[in-house]
Amino acid sequence: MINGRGIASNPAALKRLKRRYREEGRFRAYGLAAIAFAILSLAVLMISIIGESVSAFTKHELSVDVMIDPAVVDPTGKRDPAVLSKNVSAFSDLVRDNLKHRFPDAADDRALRRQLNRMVSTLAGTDLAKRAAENPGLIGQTAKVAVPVSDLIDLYLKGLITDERIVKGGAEATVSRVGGEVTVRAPGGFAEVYEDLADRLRAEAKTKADAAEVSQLAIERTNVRIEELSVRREELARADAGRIVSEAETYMATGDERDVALARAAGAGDANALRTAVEARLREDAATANKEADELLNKGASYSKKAVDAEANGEPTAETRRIQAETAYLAGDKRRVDAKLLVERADAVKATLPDLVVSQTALTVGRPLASLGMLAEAVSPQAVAAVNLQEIEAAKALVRDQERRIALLVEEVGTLKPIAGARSKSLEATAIPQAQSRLARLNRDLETLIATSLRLQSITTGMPYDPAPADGAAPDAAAPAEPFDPIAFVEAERQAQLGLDLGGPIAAAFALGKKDDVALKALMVAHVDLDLAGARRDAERLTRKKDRDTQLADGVLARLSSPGVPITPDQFSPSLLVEINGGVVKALTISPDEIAGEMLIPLTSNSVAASGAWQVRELEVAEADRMVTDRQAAWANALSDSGEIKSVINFDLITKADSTYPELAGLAAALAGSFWIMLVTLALSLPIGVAAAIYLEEFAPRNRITDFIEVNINNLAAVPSIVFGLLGAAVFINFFDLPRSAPLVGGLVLSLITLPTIIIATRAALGAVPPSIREGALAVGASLPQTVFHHVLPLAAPGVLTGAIIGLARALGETAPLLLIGMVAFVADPPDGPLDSATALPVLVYKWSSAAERAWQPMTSAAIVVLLVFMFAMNALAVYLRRRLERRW
Amino acid sequence: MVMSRMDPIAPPREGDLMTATAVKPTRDEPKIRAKGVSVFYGDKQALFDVSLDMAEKTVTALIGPSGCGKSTFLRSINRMNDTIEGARVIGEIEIDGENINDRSIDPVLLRARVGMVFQKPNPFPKSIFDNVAYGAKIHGLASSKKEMEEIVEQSLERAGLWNEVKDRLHQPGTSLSGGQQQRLVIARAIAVSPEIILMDEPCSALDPIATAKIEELIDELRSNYCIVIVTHSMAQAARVSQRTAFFHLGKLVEAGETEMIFTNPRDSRTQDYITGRFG
Repeated sequence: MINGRGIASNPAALKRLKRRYREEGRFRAYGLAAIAFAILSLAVLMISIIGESVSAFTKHELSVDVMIDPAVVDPTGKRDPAVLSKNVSAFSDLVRDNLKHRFPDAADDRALRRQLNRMVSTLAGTDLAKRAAENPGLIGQTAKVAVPVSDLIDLYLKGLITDERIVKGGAEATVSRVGGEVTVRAPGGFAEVYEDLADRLRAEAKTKADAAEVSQLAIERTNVRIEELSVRREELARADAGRIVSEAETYMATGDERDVALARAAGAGDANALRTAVEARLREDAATANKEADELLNKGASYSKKAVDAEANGEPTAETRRIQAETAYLAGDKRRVDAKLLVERADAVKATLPDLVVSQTALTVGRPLASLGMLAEAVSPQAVAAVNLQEIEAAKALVRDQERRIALLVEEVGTLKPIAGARSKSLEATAIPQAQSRLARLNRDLETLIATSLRLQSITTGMPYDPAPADGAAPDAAAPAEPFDPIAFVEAERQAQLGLDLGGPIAAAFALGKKDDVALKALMVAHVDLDLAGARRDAERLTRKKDRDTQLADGVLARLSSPGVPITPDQFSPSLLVEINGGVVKALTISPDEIAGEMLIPLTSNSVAASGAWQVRELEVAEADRMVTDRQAAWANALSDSGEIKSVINFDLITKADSTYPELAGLAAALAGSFWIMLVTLALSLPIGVAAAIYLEEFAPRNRITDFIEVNINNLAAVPSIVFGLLGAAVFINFFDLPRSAPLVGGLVLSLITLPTIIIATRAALGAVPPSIREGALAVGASLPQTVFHHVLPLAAPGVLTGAIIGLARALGETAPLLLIGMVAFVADPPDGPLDSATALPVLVYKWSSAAERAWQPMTSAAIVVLLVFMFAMNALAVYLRRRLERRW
Repeated sequence: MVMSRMDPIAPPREGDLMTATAVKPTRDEPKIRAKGVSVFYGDKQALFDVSLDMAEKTVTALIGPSGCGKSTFLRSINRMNDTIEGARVIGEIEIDGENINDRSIDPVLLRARVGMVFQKPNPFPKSIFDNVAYGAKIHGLASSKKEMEEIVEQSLERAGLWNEVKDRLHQPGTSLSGGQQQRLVIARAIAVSPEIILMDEPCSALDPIATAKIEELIDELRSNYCIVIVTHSMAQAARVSQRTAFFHLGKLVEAGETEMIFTNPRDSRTQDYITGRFG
């Protein structure tokens, strides 16, 4: 019936139905996926935090019998408890002395003593000092104490410093002696650890060999490039003039257009054209400088007007404006001087003879190129010396220029003085010293050049010019420490000249202009030479690296090629500690049958150790990469094996306050602080919040004012908590002068955060009470307050309490506002009341999480776990109260 | 046309005051006398100029279609309208010749004299005893525990609930059945010794058997109280009331002896309503 022409006969309806079911299924899948994701995230979070925290819930303690020596702890003999309890370091010394008796061989060596001292906490004597202070009769007696080991030893014993592997000795072992350098012999007994180490070394050798291979590839690529460059050099050396010219044209085009054009004109020796061009260019530059100077001075004027206005209106920008005006004026005045200098130069160019212009242009545009001809024809010390003379001329020109600039600046200062005193002063104070210091620099350069020139003149022997440098021996330009080598010197000079970025394209242009084919060819060849020299240097460097790597790899592999050859672990290898006959030997050389090494803990005898009665402990992380030394590890293991170091539950985490040493730190102060804060918060926010909510919900008339209040309460709930922190710091601490870091202030601030939550929750709870209850009460003649307090509020109580508890739970986790009111301070004692300095749990989590030592990490997680336990407990209480108090109506 | 239809009942003048009193002046003074009562909810007028007398020891039924203003009128008798934001009552309502809207009258004391029973039973989520005792307690009617117990017993007795609950006085009132709850609420109203009991559709949430019990109870209570009952059920009005007032669109159309209204209504709208043509 149903499949026939009954209910589901219509195919369109069936289709619609199917679609509707699909939709339902899809939404169900979305929901499940979202829930699964949320649960998964939470699970990952919880597992990671709890997993990380587990190790903080236990700790290692060293039990020792300490003879409390009165001479050490109480030299005055007064037995004053106050003094005794403060003298923690003396009691700590007692504990450490005890360790020195336990390992006497470490006591003599200063470095070993330090390592031994670091086995226990720095403040190991804290508890003992307290005990002695409470009971001075203990002094002079022997007391049994359990002191915390240092954080690193604790981490090591928990396996958080390094992974360890223990290999049981599989053969009988004999030891050579009981102290100093020891050899332990056990045929085949070390095969496993030996192979392990050998594999590691082989792997390292492989890495080196790979690196050498990479270097080899790079060398080959560089060699190809050298080959190409050499071919090109050959080609250029043999090429005809046309080819060289076209190459040079291309090369020249990479230089600055105007400089290149000038250089070319200078080369061509067309003196008149050049003079016109130079003069035009100088005048052009002068015009630009003048224009810029005008702009800058106008800007300065406008800024200074603004400064005056701002000052008149009392605006704070006046100062900034004044500085801006001053800067603009100064730049403008300097530019004005530049313009004058340029005009002077242009006039000079106009006045000089054309030939002089050519040589001056050669000097100012491309200093090295005037002597290119000489260089090309016969490079000799004489030629280089000639180039040097040109340099000296150029440098002198620069010095003259700078001197003239200074003169002009002084002149400008004089001009400005009567019309703009401030500007003249600033120019005098800033621009002139700058120009003078530059002049000093230029003079120094000039002196250097002259000195070089003098040295060059001392070289008397002529050098034939050979553009191809000696094979593979491109000398470095700078080698001042070496004895003077004229060949190297000339070569260096030549490279320095040709390699100048400015000189390269400009020199080509000059030579092109001069139509000096020989010079041009020399220039182009030298250019290739430079690249070639660079490539050769690269090849050499790569070869050196390759050789080094290959050597290392080959060395290791060669050593390991014969089976059983002794190997030496380096500082990056795992440590091997042989524990035998009650002592520990650290392996320094190892072969499958024996190890030789250093005694870390003396052996008790040199008798033969049976197979299985000894073992090798392999510490995977190399000694150089961890904070616990091999010796400390050996001591820790020995003390742990003998039961002197025991793992105990870390009650200190709850009972002790914060400390700078992780092994001594606990949450007590933070727990107490959080408790007081919560108490203050509850005492303030619950009554105020509930009262406000009752007024708004039951008594207040509905009008704009109450609407406004309502909206703002909702807004307050959304305000970031750090804002309340700022408010608290400003109002409670600065204005009301309440003590910083006090739980009272914390509670006040957190009340502000909790209030909106409580008001909103309470109003919702009150609103959920059915109106029939109110009407019933009113109808028997109850007044409004009676109705509210006898009937409505009791029914709303579960909701109110839930809101309050959830608000408090939020407050418990708040960190930012507490930081702002100074609750981040280090607090070593739990607070006694709401006015004592305190810190809070989340703040402590924040502090510990940013601490550097590795040991704080599990402590932080443990603190988070404690915080979460409290939060979950509060939320569970909220759920319980709701269930318990909820009544049906 | 509409105007002419309304004419007979509209603005009651001094001379032909209320038909209800005019028809049969059984008692000298009415217990409640409403004169020109209009009620506004904000800008909306819900009740137009109603004048109606309700006599002592009489059950007066207010009938009419939904939204006709009968509940509004009822709630203005004990000033429950005061609790509604924006509600405004004009005109006079006198109880024993005293204007209850007068400034000197405290609504709390008024409500102690004028009890009210609502459509849905609304016992407090407390014990049966506390439910009944609450009103007496806040008004200080009992000076000792014993007196309180007497008041509770009497009230429950009168509400016909005593025999059913006397063994479980300390169980929550909400554990009773719907009919029992409604009688508990009546007992709660009686406990403060009111003179008038207002009932707003007291049986609409109840099954017929519970309804019958409540009706019986109303009939018994009539001998001591002035009862005003709003009902949707014409049959119920006919069964329990002596006088009936018919409201329509916020106006009192007709009021009089129940028998008269049901057998011989003067207004055609009353006729239409009771014969089931609308409503």
